Amino acid sequence: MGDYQDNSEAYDTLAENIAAPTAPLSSTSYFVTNTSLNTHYNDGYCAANNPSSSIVVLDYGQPVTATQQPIGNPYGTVLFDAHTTSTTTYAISNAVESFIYGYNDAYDRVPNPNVTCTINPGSATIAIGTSNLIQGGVGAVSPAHARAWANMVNDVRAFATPYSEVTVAAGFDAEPDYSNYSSAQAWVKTFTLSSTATLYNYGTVGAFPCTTASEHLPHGLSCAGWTVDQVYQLSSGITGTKALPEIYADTYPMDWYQVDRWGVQTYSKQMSFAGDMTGCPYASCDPQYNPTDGWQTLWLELNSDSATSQNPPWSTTIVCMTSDCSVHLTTYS
Amino acid sequence: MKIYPVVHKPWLCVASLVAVMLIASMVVSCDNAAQTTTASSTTGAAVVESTSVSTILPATVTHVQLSTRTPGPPPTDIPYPSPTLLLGMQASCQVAGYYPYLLRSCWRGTFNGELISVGAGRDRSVSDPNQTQLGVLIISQSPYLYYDHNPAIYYVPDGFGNVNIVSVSGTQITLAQAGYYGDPTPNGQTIIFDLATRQFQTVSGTPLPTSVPPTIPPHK
Repeated sequence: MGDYQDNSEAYDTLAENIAAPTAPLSSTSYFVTNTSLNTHYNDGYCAANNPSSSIVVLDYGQPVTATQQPIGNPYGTVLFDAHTTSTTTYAISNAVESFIYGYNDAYDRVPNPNVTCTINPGSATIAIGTSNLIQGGVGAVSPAHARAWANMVNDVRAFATPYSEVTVAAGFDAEPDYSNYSSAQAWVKTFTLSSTATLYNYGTVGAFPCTTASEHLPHGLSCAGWTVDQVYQLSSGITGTKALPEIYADTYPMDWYQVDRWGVQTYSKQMSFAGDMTGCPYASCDPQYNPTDGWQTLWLELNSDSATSQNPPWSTTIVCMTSDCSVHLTTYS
Repeated sequence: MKIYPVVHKPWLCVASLVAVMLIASMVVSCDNAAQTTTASSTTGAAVVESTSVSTILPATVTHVQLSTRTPGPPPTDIPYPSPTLLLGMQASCQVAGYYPYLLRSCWRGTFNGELISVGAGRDRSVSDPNQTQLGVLIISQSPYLYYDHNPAIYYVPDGFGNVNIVSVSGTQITLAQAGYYGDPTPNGQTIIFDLATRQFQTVSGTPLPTSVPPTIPPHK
């Protein structure tokens, strides 16, 4: 392991001399609130609005052992509806397939009188997401759940084979606040060994990740529960993983730069940033980032240092799938 | 009318089917292609016996729809449980997006004839497991905690740390010390929060200091 260095002063100076390029067109990702085929179909249809390529995360919520389970399918998630409904991987796979049907119909210019969106289809990567959130010390952030998730993703990938414009992937909202590292790591490692689908980490750094509890903190933040190396592992270090980090506000890009810098210094390997995920779809989101601000600020942080320079291809913003959502309505709404 | 599923490159699937017949162990999900081809082809060369393919393909390919589909929304929705307002301890405290408190223990019920919701956990701004956590109890006069912009937020007494709801009985909410991830703490202490007086107290009824922050801070 290399020594961690705070390079904030150096890149702050460089950042003054570069300008971020135009951000990619932001896609809409969803906190999923139900497994309705119609809702998924229509949202899939309207997702076909980017003529180049985009990523859509369908976040089905925290992993659980399903309470209502078809035989042989005992794992699922808690959805983001206000009633915290549980669902199974079986229902999720059907819903995602309906999303893909909708996307494909838009791709084929089939009219859809049930929506008012404008379509302009290109290709899309659809990441089927869950998280490492545990509840009261009990949760399904386990290898068994990861295997079930991988089986589901593999099934949907097989289903999507005829639809060349769609790539099926997986997502994982990995957050240091949500579980201990060993549980999250076991889930990610098991998934990546059970599926060749890319696993996008759309999580957070939490507070600034530290190598030791007594480490100097560059931004006045406290240490998170995971080390910087652990965040790196789940976001690019483990083969099959890529980063699609939440960039909700101004501290997030700086922290992800530090994680990337750690990877370069320690493993001579940059993180692979697929893009960023913001949490506000509107033009004005202060103090949170809108999609353009989020992507450009991450770009500036990464490209202020030649060692971490890269051009993340995607930008996405996550919103609730329906109004019946366990969302905390922040000041911009 | 378009026959579904659409196979954009049908020759690929025909080739694959031939390969499947040669290598019986390959997993290729072209049931649909076989069905479509059989139904629509007018030349013998492209016809593949769908029954043969079905015999060869493993039964584990469960998500490839064998029937044709017309474009448009699904004709029928798969029924899923209608959301119901569950009272008592909640299955999850999950929130969509950022919330400044990490709640892992939530309860919903009636108090004074009104539906209320309660969440217990800790303040996210202190996130070092080696530090003392700032435990919080959040009470909303609505059944949906996260929709409330101005719930009552009570920090648990100093040094007590992260908390879980153990039970709610009458006016009393029993809270137990929890670990960083909300895991139950062996031999952890318990305290009471009284909904009527809005006051923390020991299990023996001795009042404890209770502070009330004014509002939820903005995310920055």
